[in-house]
Amino acid sequence: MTENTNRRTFLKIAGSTGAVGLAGLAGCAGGGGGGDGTSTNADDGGDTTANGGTTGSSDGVETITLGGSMSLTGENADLGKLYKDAYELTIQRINDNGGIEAGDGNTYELEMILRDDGTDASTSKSIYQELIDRENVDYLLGPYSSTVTLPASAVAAQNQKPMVEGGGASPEIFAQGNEWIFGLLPTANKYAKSYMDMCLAQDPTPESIAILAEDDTFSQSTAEGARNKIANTDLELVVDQTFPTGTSDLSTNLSRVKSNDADILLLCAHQKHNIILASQMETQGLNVDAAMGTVGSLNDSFKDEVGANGNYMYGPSSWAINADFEDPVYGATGDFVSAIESNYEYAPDYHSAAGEAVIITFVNAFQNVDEINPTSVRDQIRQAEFSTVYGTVAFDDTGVIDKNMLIYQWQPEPGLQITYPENVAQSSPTYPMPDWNER
Amino acid sequence: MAITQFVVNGLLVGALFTAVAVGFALIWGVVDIINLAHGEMVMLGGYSSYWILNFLTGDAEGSVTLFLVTIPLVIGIVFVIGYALQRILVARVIGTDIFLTLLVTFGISIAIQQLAIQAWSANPRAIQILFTDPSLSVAGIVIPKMKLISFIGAIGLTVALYVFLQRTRTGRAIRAVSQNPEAAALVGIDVEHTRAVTFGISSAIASGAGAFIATILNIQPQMGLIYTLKSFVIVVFGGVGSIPGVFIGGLMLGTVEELTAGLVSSQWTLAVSFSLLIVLLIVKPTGLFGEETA
Repeated sequence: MTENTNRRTFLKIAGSTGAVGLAGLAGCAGGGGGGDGTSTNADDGGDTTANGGTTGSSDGVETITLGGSMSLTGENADLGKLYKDAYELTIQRINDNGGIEAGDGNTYELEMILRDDGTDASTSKSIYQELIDRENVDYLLGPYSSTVTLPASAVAAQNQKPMVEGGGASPEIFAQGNEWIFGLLPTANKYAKSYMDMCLAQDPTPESIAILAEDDTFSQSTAEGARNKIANTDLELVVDQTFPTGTSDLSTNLSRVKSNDADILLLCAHQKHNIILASQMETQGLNVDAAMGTVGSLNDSFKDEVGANGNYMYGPSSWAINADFEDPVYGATGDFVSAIESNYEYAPDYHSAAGEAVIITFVNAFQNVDEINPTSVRDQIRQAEFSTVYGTVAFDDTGVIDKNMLIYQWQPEPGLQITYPENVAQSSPTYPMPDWNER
Repeated sequence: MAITQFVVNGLLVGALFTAVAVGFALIWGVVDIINLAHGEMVMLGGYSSYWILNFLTGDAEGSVTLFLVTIPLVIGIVFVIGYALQRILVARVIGTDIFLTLLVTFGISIAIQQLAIQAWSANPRAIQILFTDPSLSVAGIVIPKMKLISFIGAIGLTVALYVFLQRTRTGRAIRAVSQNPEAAALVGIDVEHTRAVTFGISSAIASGAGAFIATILNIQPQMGLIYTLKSFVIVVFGGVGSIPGVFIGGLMLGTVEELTAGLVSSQWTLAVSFSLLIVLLIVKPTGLFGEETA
């Protein structure tokens, strides 16, 4: 090869490539990928509603349409699928059982338009506006991840349509004075609280903690909640680092944790970085007493990828798969677990259960209002209290469910175990984690 | 000590950047296009190795030897993909406006990403290499064994490409086409075939690097763009057409990024890398080792 590009050509190429590349990177920073505009129908996976309206009649059957965007492609597609499956199965069960006997005296079937936002906030925002303007959807299913949910919730507020979501946990979403958003996940600032409480109850008591946080809305909220919690304990924060979502190598950050001799480690990030953490803790020879990843460290797919390296890692969950809550559609939590396992061949986690509760929240409201319209449905949701497979659902004044996180740990035998709080723990935590050379 | 560790981390990962970027530079120099789908070849390499190993062992986990056996297969598979892409799609826009070639390769990258998501889901995946003790410790510096093997493998791929271009008949044909395609055609070189071989080789080298990346980091369908961008920065650093320049550029980029992450914050790594790129474009647009021609 030889240099055959003159200066002007080189600068032209460099400029245009940089522009295209950076535009693409910007897309990825927002979660990557673009929406493909496909929709799904609860019954057949088709691509539109029967009548395009939020309530109406199709083939003589009254319908209410729920609409939303979801991460069906992009970085969070694996978690988006959990919501989609839970939505679809729950709606199918409701319709198979004769639909909803609403408070207005009519019986309705549910229909759903769920479009792919590619894990991209601006795409999601456009989808919600389009669902409201063109499809006349009045009842919105929230998207996944705080970064996507925050702008989507603003669309709900501007158009005065109730949105119920099970995928956004940043306190920012509920700090905007928005009366139209309801969240089923504990806010992100609670994610690390139970973990630190658990660690502080162990012997030896940890004296120092390291925080590594992804630079997205949710993870930053989680880290902020952890910092506030640390300020009220004797823990010393020895490492507090933020890394870009696109980072695929944590080794230098883990070297920092090692050189600062942190007792416990908190990774505020999603599944991709939990996989990297589990692998690189071993290769960097990082031994801590406890390590927790905030999202995606409890999935089967996480454990499949990291194998034995995932043992002893902790993760938070707002739901226990072995819980026993009554539910109007499935009967009880165990029946929901069986239904997901038999239909989709995986075990549900708290994302799945929260997805089911999203649908039940709307169903409960439709059943208890005299007239089905967005304002009365919103007001009913605000005052309701009912049981679902996810647990008791009731929202505070800001629209957030009142729930705390459980802590799970991957143990070599018997596997994933609830280790905190003590009153529901299946096993004591293996604390401190064994050093790598002892495993 | 910590700084030394950061530099070692940077050199280890920088060699992989080099192996990815050298193929990017080759296509740029010979076919005269900026291949925005280059990062997707890294991704395809990672997945190819993952699935071959999965087929052999049942769970994408195995010994170093078994993993290394997958590399020639990966290189062969992705060579064919690269060759076909050049013949079927890219050849149609060579010699047209630069923006058209950028759009075509960008379109290819999006198509490959989406196909990969459909085929393999967006779940991150990693190859697990079994070691009794996964790291070496030299004077307090931790060197993960698999990163060291990847470092050697990446340098091996780069050197192999350099030797191939210098010593083989096909390599000389590639260099001839890069210098003057018309003259190369006059002496009997099949220019279109040579360009397709070049595309295949550069894709193959990137895929080999991708296989190593699957063992030390992880792989996802949308991982490609960042490697394309890094390749672009490295090629500009080193100078288009200079394999030694790309080699130095890759190691420099890795080291600068890890030092930035270690001493400042990971948040600043891209900002620092691209700031250096802008400064270099102003001061020496042809890169550290490139030569400007009229």
